[in-house]
Amino acid sequence: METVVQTAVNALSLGGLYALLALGIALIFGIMGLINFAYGELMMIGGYALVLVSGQPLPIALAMTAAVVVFAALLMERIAFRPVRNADPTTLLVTSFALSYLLQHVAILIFGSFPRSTSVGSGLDNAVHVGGIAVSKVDIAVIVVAALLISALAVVVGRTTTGIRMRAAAEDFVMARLVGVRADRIVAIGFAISGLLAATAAYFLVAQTGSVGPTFGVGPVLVAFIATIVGGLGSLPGAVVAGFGLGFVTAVFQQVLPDSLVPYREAFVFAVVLVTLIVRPEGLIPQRTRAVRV
Amino acid sequence: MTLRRIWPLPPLALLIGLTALVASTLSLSSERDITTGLVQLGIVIGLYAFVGVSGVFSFGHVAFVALGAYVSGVFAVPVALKEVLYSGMPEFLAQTSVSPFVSIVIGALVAAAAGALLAPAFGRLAGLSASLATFALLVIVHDIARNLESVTRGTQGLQGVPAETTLWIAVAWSLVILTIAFVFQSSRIGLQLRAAREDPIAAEAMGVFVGRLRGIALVVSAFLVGLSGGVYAQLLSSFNPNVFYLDLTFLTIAMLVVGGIYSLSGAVVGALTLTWLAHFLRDLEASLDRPGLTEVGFALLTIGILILRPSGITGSRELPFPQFLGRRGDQAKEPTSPGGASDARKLSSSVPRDDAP
Amino acid sequence: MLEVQHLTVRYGRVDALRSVSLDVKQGELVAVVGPNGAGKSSLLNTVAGRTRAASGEVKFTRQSISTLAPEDIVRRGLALVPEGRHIFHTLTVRENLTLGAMVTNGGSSVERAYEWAAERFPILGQYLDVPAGKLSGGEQQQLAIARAMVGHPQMLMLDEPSLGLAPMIVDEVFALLGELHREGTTILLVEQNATRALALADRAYVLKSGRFVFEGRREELHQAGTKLTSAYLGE
Repeated sequence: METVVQTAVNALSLGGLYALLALGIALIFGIMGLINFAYGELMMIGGYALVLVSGQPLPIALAMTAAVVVFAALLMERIAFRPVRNADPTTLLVTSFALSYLLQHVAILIFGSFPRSTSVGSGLDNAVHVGGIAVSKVDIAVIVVAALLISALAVVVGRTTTGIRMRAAAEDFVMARLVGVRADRIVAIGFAISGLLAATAAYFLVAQTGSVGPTFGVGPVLVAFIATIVGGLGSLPGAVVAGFGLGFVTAVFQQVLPDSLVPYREAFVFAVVLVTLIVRPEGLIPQRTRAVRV
Repeated sequence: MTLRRIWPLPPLALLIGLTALVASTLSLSSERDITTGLVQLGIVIGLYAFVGVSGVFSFGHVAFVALGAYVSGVFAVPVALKEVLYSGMPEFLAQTSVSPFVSIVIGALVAAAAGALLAPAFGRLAGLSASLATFALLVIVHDIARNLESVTRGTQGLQGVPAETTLWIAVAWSLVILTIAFVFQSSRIGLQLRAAREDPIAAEAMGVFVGRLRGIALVVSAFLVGLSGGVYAQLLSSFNPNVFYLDLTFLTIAMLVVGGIYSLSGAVVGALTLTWLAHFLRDLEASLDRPGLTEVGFALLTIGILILRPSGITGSRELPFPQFLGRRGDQAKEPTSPGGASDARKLSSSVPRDDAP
Repeated sequence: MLEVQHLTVRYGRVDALRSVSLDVKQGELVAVVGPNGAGKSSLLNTVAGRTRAASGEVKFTRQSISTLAPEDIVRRGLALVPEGRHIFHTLTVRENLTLGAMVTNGGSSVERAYEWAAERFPILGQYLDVPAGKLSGGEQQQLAIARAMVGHPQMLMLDEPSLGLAPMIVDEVFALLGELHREGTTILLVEQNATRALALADRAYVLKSGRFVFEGRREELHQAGTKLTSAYLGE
């Protein structure tokens, strides 16, 4: 019983994290048709920011980190992506990959290639006992925060006028401009939200791993990609569902695989993903977006 | 076999030969740098065979390079060395050792087989999804290489691979790979794929058909980069999984992008250009004592090209057939397009995104 | 109100428009007719800011809009209903209208927008919370026009409103355009269906292969007969 509950909590927490990651990618893709490889580096920037402000009280540290990451996201959009905004998908993809690589190596130039350890988030280290079962505090925190953020995003996208503009831009960017949606502004808003999600994910990842290095974002961004594909490119609900699905599958494999095979957990998850895609290549909850065709 | 039929093979082969000739006059370490560049050229050509022909971008080709390198490496290490270095290696592998040449071919075949295994899944995905899936492949293979210690020696790396790859061996292999790629792109499948790439609407009408063609391109590409992997292994003699990960991925992508994604000439020109550029940049890096400057420089260069001239140095066209050699220049390699293709913003000559006349 | 001066538009090496000039005065309904590929859509798309002209100038209410972004042009009061309607399928009718109303930057005007639309287009009033993709072609066309109108534009441009619609629906759409015209809305109408367009128009231009081959008032339109035929059928 204890393992079942712990695995469930683990799955939900992992799923929540993956869902946040996937949303960050899906949001930008929806609006711009851009897959942002450098999203992982936004998380890396968040991680390093947390290390640098770790002396501050937690709320201040979090706010400063979020501000830095959002600023980086807006800068990224302005300098690297706006010049290629109307290019074909391949150019967009490779540009974001090159940017990701650039940022990783700039980080190496500044911080060196070895990871820095930090005690940020160590307050969440211990476990809480619920009904006699030990559950990690970090997991609970992730689940709560993820649920809050996802709900908030759902409200913003579904109910506000900004959300209407974003959905219109995601469906038909050119037509949205013809009814007055300001292209620059809506893209900036998308990047800002994406940055906020990245900062949040970065905090929890730092809390869980205790260190930040230049390749901090590579693993998470990969997960985000997979979740986005499986969910249906550009589909926000799909990203959330797929994120939780991936978290669930990963947690189950972690529990169920024999010890010798546990390091290959990712390969097993990947195999599951491949099968899912063969069966349903358009994704779990496909969305009508303009860029995805052939 | 007229000159025009095999164009642009001759000038490209010439460029490769010239590069090697110049390299042989330089210092030993410079020569080794260029040799490495020539091996990487093989990878870039293999990358082009998939990306340039099918139009689907790949970040996973280095996974196939790794496969080729490790498989050929394991088969090439002499049996006596294996007993010393490897514990727990499967009996069959521990007792087998083949000639360096054969091991390279075996490595390439295994890479191709892996490509064939994945082709049905990748072929059915929308282009963008397939690209992301290739990235996942890269990470997974890297993971496996790090963990399968009985065969790969994990993070310690493979050692004892015979160091057979000299400058001219690298040249020979790169010419072989170049020729195979050329034959492929000129074949019926290659032409169909390139036509489908240039006109996505027609591609959609061809439906599942395109998926199967892409699968074939993937297998060919995997074979070619697998060959390069084996050659690379015999250049380095010892390597770990990180050699075949993000840095090599980015480098080979940068080479293709800078040269011109959609032409074979682009692959060669880009690879040779960046190889020489790296050579000079590394000297600069050493004198400034700032390791990592070369990578940053290449990243900036690539982004610059993507913003300012996305079609690369060659404009994604093949090297032109010189007028003085024939009555007409060879027009066959020019990308066809519906409304003209001179807009520098566009990498491929596909229909403008927003609207049509 | 709208002045197009010596506009040249190129796509790659193809000239879609060659130094064309036209003007639309306040309250007029001007039609631009011509065969497929004549450049009619290029004209509207360039005026609306979707594409950049190679040379020439576009002025709206005496101010140059040649270099403005589409979202700024529509906020100046020049709205385009593009070819194929392009309503937002995944948004509800209400949300589509909201977008149109927000062009005038008024919070209260959004409410009035729904009322106006529901009154003018009863069908839309019924389907306010239905995803727009579920509407029929004719209803979508009404929505596209309503969406443009609730922004209170000074001038409306329509690109082939009859395309893909059943004849009876086309009747309704053109009747609607006639009403709007009578109420004083300035309209620039681009149409392949020359008969309908010319019946409504105060003035008309005939476009062929990127050039105007005829321009005249309603009274002169009977002279257009042969020019029109040759424009559509080729010399």
